[in-house]
Amino acid sequence: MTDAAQERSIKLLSSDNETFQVPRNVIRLSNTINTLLQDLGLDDEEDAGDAIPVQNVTSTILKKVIAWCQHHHEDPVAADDSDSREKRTDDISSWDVEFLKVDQGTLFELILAANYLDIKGLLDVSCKTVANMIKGKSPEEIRRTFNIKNDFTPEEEEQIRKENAWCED
Amino acid sequence: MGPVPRKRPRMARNLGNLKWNSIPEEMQQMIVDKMDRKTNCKFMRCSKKSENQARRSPDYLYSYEIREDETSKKKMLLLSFTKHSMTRYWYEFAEVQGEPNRTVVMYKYNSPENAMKSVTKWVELVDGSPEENRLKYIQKHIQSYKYSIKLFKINDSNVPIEKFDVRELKCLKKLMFHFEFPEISEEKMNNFADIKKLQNISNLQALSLIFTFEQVVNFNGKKLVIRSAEFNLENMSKYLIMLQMEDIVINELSVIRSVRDQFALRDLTKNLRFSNYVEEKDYEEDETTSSCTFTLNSLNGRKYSVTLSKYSFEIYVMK
Repeated sequence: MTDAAQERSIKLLSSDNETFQVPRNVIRLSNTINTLLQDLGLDDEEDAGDAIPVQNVTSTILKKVIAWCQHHHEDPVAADDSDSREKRTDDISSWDVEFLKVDQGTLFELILAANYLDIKGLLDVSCKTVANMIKGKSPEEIRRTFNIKNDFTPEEEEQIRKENAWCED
Repeated sequence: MGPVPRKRPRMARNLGNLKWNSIPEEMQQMIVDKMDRKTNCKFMRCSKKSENQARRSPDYLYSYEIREDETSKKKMLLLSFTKHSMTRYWYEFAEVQGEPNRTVVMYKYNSPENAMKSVTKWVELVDGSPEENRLKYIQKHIQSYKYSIKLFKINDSNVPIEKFDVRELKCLKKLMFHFEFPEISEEKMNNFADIKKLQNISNLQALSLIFTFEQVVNFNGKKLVIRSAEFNLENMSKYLIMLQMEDIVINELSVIRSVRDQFALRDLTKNLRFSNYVEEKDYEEDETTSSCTFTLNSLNGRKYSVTLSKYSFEIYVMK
């Protein structure tokens, strides 16, 4: 991507037809948009041109996604989340914690949007936030939270309880 | 003015009102993958589907198991992780001689990902009895992330699992002596004839451990590391002879224990299970040369003929 390309803006069109103008170097965090621009040869065009439809994302969520990208667009590229990295859920930055203090429906939609737009950092942090919501809950509480039906037979439940006895409080 | 209509509670949009099944499968798995071990473990118990998802989650601790070797009565803790179905950690706990409240903890790690790194053993000296430490390790360490296991210190520096392999045996040796285990005489060090003493010993609860012998030999073009260790119990000597074959094709750690019926081969390719013990008919002693020969049956079907003598060790794969 050239310097000129970095400075220009891209228009995004939400599913409810609201248009957002986003600096190119901000939306670079979305691999989906990156690929689209490159594949269509639009990356070097000065004119923002037509808005790119983001059909699966509403304006409310797209606004949040853009806000997240604006805050993080200068972050260094995260290392690959490989096996050697410790699995942690307590490494969410304070800004992200505040940013993700939304109702759980919005959080869920953010996860979907991050996945659709392929924004790894946002997907990572929003999934961690949901995982943290489950943290500290008993299996029964988790079932209630997610409306999960217990389909274990008593014998199966006992077996799996024994197998996982170490996680009992 | 009529009653003020009650606002629809915000919880209406909460995940609590979403069905797990309404979340795309891929997203579900991503969330499960972010859970810590303990949450993951609890999530597993919710339903068959969540069990399946939790088991697929990277690095999930699938199970732990304390096994007691029937003959030696030695207890071992086996941890299994799902990410690499054969990734296992073995822990051995032994009391330090004369110090019932100190424990030698030995760790073995097996990962099929990289055969060259597949056999590793660490040693740590900790306070508390072996029983207490077994419990502690279950309650504390296992719940934490697997890489917390790299707390082991070799020469006071953290050595990540990935960088510690069989070639670091010298570190282990240093570590053992660092803990001031009694030295063993030069004479004893190479005296395999003392193996005969082992025949009288039925209980291998190690109270102290000394690496007494270490040799790297060429075995059919492969590097074979032989180590022996002496355990002291009630003034009786016992030997643990460990054979480590460094081989990129097969990775086997055989542990030969004390009396003839305790000879066993642990086949790492078969999840560290014990193979058949050496049978009486397969064991022969030669008084004149102070050597013994026996056959080890590997779980993978191979048979090994092993000869131990005063100064030599031979192993052959039998057809």
